[in-house]
Amino acid sequence: MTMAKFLNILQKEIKDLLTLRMILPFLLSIFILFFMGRIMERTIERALKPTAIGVVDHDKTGASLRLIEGLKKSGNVVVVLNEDDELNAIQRAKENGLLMVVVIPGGYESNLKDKKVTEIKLYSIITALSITASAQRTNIKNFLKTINQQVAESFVRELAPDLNMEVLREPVKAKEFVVLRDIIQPGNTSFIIAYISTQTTIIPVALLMLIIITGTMIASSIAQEKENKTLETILTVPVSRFTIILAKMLAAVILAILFALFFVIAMGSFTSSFGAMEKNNLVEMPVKSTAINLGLDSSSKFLLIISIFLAIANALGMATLLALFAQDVKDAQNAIMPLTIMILIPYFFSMAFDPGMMSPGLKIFTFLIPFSHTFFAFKFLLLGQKLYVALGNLYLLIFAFVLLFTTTRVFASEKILTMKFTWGKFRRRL
Amino acid sequence: MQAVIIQNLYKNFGNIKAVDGISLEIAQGEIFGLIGPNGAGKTTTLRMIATLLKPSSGTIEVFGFNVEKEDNRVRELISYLPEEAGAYKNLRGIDYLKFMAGFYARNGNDKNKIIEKALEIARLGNRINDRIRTYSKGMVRKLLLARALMHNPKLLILDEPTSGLDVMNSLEIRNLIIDYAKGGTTVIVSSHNMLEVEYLSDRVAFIHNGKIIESGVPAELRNKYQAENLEQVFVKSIRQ
Repeated sequence: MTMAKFLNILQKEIKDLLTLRMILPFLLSIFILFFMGRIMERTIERALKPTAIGVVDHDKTGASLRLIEGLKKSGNVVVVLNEDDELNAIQRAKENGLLMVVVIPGGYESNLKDKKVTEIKLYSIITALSITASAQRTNIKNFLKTINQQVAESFVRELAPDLNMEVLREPVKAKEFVVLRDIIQPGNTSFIIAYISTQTTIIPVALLMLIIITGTMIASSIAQEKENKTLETILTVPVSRFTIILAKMLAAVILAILFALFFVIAMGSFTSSFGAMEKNNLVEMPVKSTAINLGLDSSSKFLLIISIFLAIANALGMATLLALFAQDVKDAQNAIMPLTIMILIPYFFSMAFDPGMMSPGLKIFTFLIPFSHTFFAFKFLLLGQKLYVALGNLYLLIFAFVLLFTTTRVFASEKILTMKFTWGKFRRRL
Repeated sequence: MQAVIIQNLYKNFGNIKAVDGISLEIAQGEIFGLIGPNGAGKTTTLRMIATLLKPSSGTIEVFGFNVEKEDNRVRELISYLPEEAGAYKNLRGIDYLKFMAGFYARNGNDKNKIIEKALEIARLGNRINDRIRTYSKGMVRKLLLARALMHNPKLLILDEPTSGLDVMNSLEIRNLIIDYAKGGTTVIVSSHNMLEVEYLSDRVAFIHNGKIIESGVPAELRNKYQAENLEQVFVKSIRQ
């Protein structure tokens, strides 16, 4: 009988929470994330395309032709521009979407022969300030290097034709390895660190959205009972207050898990954009770029999932408790402000600091906030510090129990009808 | 057996005495009217009987059960319709009745019977399949009254049952209450509309500043105070 009543409320709550007004912001954020992933992927692929260069050759000698050939060989798409006037050449380059114009002056070959410096003009055409443009502009430096390397090599070849150019170019070669926990793998350190920092940025953002949205949902659900004047009726039906509040929270947890799954799929789409780098063999990834498979072992994944689940449970408990004093949905949005602050602090801290960098005072302050344990969990697990995460989970569990107990007590008391939340103070209402 | 026994009931909100030493008894099957101006303590008293508020001191018994100590048992016997009650606007009328029937039905058959009865009381026709947000105030009130009556409560507590309704809807609601009470249910009805309570009630009590200042059968009270109606009785009883 009690179970039937519990399921009766649970079913109604799920129906009530699944209104368009409730789920639209969430669906929107997932939609944005999903398409950001697609856009990011395309952007990276575009950034990795060879740079299109226009060349104006005023010299028209064997040396200048060799220079053009060299440019082609070093991975650039070269378009020879026949305009004599540089301004006309730039105009044509713009029309053809070229990013640079290289002007080889007359006398280039003779200067080389006389071992004199030649000034080659490089016109960079800035059309965008996006990630694509910045990546392509990095190629300018490489381009200059290529030119100087070619010329220097030709001088050396003249003086010492038998010398091995490979050895001359790089007599000391570096082979990079990355050591992460017990994994040792060859790879470009800067790319791997960039990848990890991207992951430690994306996960908190996802978590932030998930917690705030589910907290808002449960707060609205409770406040709606007051706004629609249905609370007094439901409190006088023969069902315990504990059953009512538990059904409400469980409904929110079920939906939170459902939304979390959608989120993970959307995140997967977002992070798979890193696959574009892998495909081009520019990065040797130590881990696969999916949201769930973060290069963590099974027990780490388990700890992370438990941590996320407990963070959601804490957010629900806290949002419910705060919303109990709100009079309507608008009031409830204000009431959950402390929860939002408690989520934002560890969110920013987890992105800005490593726990090792924090002063003892800041560390205590940060980790007294239950959500900090979840926000830092990924960093800890990545470094193999499972014990910290396990202890954090224990803290989250205790906090969740205290919240649930307090919420039930308040819900069972008459305070739910007589107390009203206003900014800075509680006011008794007759 | 008395349906409700209230003894030395007090309820304070901080320094404010909302209910100030009420004692009264309501017989089984009686329609009892609690009359008083706004802020007199009617709603607070009804909320305490309905287990929503706890008395500061004193006791309330509903069919022998103490509302503080045996609140779950009391909730099985009562039905409370608050003054400004609403329904879940996103639900259809029929779904709301199904949801509420779920708290009283022992099985599927029982649930169907409860819902059928609610449909009879509500008399909303095909509109019962529409979303509650599209209902007029009168329709919502009828739906809520049907909800309150559908499971045959032993004690029906109605706080300002016709508040904000037009004449036709008010009359319909009053007749519904009278028809229903003929079945033997005890009804406590509160109102600041004294003529309405006079029309409905077997016995009434006047409440003013948290105290019962007079109680009795309407006709006897009119005689006692040489008054034409309960409004005049109320004014004269306050002056005394």
